[in-house]
Amino acid sequence: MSRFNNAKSPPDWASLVSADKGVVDRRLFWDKEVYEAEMQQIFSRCWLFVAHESQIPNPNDYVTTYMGEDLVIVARQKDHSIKAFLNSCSHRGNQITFSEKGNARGFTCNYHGWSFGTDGALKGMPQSEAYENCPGFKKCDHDLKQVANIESYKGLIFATFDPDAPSLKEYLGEFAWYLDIMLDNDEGGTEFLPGCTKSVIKANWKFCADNFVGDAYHAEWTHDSGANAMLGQSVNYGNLKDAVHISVNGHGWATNMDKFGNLRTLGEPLIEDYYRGRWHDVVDRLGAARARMVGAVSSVTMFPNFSFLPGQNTFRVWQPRGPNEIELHTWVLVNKNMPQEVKDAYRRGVMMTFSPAGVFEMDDGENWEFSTRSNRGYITRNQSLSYSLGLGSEIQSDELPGRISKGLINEANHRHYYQRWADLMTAESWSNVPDRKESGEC
Amino acid sequence: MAGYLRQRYWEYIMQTIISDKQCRAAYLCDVDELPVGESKKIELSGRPPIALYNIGGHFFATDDTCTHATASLSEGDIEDDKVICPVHWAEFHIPTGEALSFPATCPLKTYVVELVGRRVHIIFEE
Repeated sequence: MSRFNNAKSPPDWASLVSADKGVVDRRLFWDKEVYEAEMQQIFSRCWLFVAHESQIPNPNDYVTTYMGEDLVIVARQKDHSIKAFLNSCSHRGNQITFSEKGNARGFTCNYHGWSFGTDGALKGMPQSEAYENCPGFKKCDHDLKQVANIESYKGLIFATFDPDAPSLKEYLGEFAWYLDIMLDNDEGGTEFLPGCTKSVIKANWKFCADNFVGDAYHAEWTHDSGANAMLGQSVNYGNLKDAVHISVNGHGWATNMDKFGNLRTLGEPLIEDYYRGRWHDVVDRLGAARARMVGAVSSVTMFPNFSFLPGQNTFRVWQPRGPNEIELHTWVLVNKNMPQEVKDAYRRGVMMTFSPAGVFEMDDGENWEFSTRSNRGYITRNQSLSYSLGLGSEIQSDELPGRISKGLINEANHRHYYQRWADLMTAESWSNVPDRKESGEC
Repeated sequence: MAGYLRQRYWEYIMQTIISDKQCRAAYLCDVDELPVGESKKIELSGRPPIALYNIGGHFFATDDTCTHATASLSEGDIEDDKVICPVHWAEFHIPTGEALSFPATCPLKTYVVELVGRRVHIIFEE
C-alpha cells in the first residue's frame, strides 16, 4: 500500500511526491480532486503558452486556445500590442467565437447578440435602451475578463491569470538562455508553419509533459520500429559522454549535444544540409555548447504543459481535459529565413514522425494511455511510480546554467518537474514558491 | 468683428436662397477641433446627434446613430472614406451614407457641410 494513503484530508499534496527519492504517488495521474487542485494551483497561476507572434501578425488577427480548461481569445490590437481574454460571454456565459483563428473587428455572442471589440470590451447590446433603465448598469463592468498579464519571449507568447505571478522573465529564469537555441539561432527569428494539428489522447497531461521533460530512456525501446523506418536502424544514442539533464524550476531540457541526432529522424536531407551549412554562424551567435543542442537527440518541457523537440521542431501544448485525457495541439517552428524548400521539408518530416499518425508519436500515445488507464484499479492507483533513475548524478557546471545532472539516461528532470509540481500545489501564493537553484534539495 | 458679420450674412443667405425647402444651418464646431482621420459626435438640441468626419481635410456629416441598431458611429473607426459601426461593424460610405455591408441595409442620412472661415456648419431641413 502506498504510504501516502492519508495524504488527502486535508489535502497535503506535497506528500504525494518524494522528489529526492524519485517516488511519485499514482493518484497524481487519476484522482479528480488532484486534478481540480491542479487547475487552481498550477493552471490559474503559471505562465502558459498561448500563441506564436507569427500567428497574429496584423491588427484584428486572433487565435483561440486554452489556458488550462479556460477558453481564451488572443487578439492583436490596433497598436500592435496583444490582449487575451475569456472566450465566454460576460452576460450568460455562452462561448463567443467558435473559430480557431481569423481576422475580425470584434465578436458577437450568438445568444443575445452582445457585441465585443477585439480588446474584449463590451461595445453594444440589442435593445440597449432597456439597459439604460437598469440601475447601475455600465458597459465597462461587463467587458470580457482579461488575463492578468501577457508577454512574449522572442516570438512565444505566454499569459497568466494571476496578477501576483512573477514576470515572464523571472518565470523563465535561466531557461531563457536555452530557449534561444530554438528562438534565436538565426537573426530573422522564427515563425510557426501554418496550421495546428489537434488530437485527443486518453492520458493524464503529466505523463506527456514528463516524457518530454527528459525521457530519452524510452526511445530505444518504444521507438525501435520508428527508428528502423526512418533511419534504417534501431535507436543508437551514440556517444553519451556530454549528455546532460538541465532543469530550471521545473522547466527541463535533456540533450545529448550531438548536433543532428533529432533532426535526422525526420528523413529530410535538406534539413541536415541547412544546419550543416549554418553551423559556424550558429556557433558565432550562440556559442559551441548551445550550437550543439540545436538539432541534437533531446527533448524539452516548460512547466507545466508546453513541450518541444529541438531538431524535429514540433511544439506542443498538452491541454488537460480532466485527469484522464488531453487535447494535444501541435505546431512546427521554423526560422523565418529558412528557404521555402526547407520549410516544406519540415512540414513533411513532422507529419511523418510527430503527428497523430506519425511513426514516433503513435507509439508514445499508446504508452501514456495505458499508463493512465491502469490506475482505474483501486489497488493499482494506491501504488507509487519510480522516478529514481540517475539519483546522485547532479554535477556542477561552469558552462551550463541551471541544475545539471550528468547523463541522458536519467530521470533527474522528472524529479525536478515533480518537485515544482509539489511546490506549486502547496504554495498559498507565489511568494511561497521556492526558487530551487541549489543542489542538495531536489 | 468682420468674421462675425460674415457669419451672420452667410446664415441669412442660406435661409433665403434655398427656396423650395425650409432649411437651417447649424454650427457644429471649429475646424481645429477635429483632426484629419477622426470623427466627432455633436448634439443639437431637439435633433438626433450628428457625426462629423474629417477625411483628408474635407468635412462630412451624417446622423450619428447607426441605421441598424443603437450605436454611435462617431465611436467607430474610419477606414478611407468608410465609417465602421463599433457594435456590429456595418460599413457606411461617409460621403453618400450608403450602407456597404451586413448587417446594415438602410443608408445613413447625410448633411451638406459648409465652412465659413474656420467654422463648420451643416444644413438641414426644418
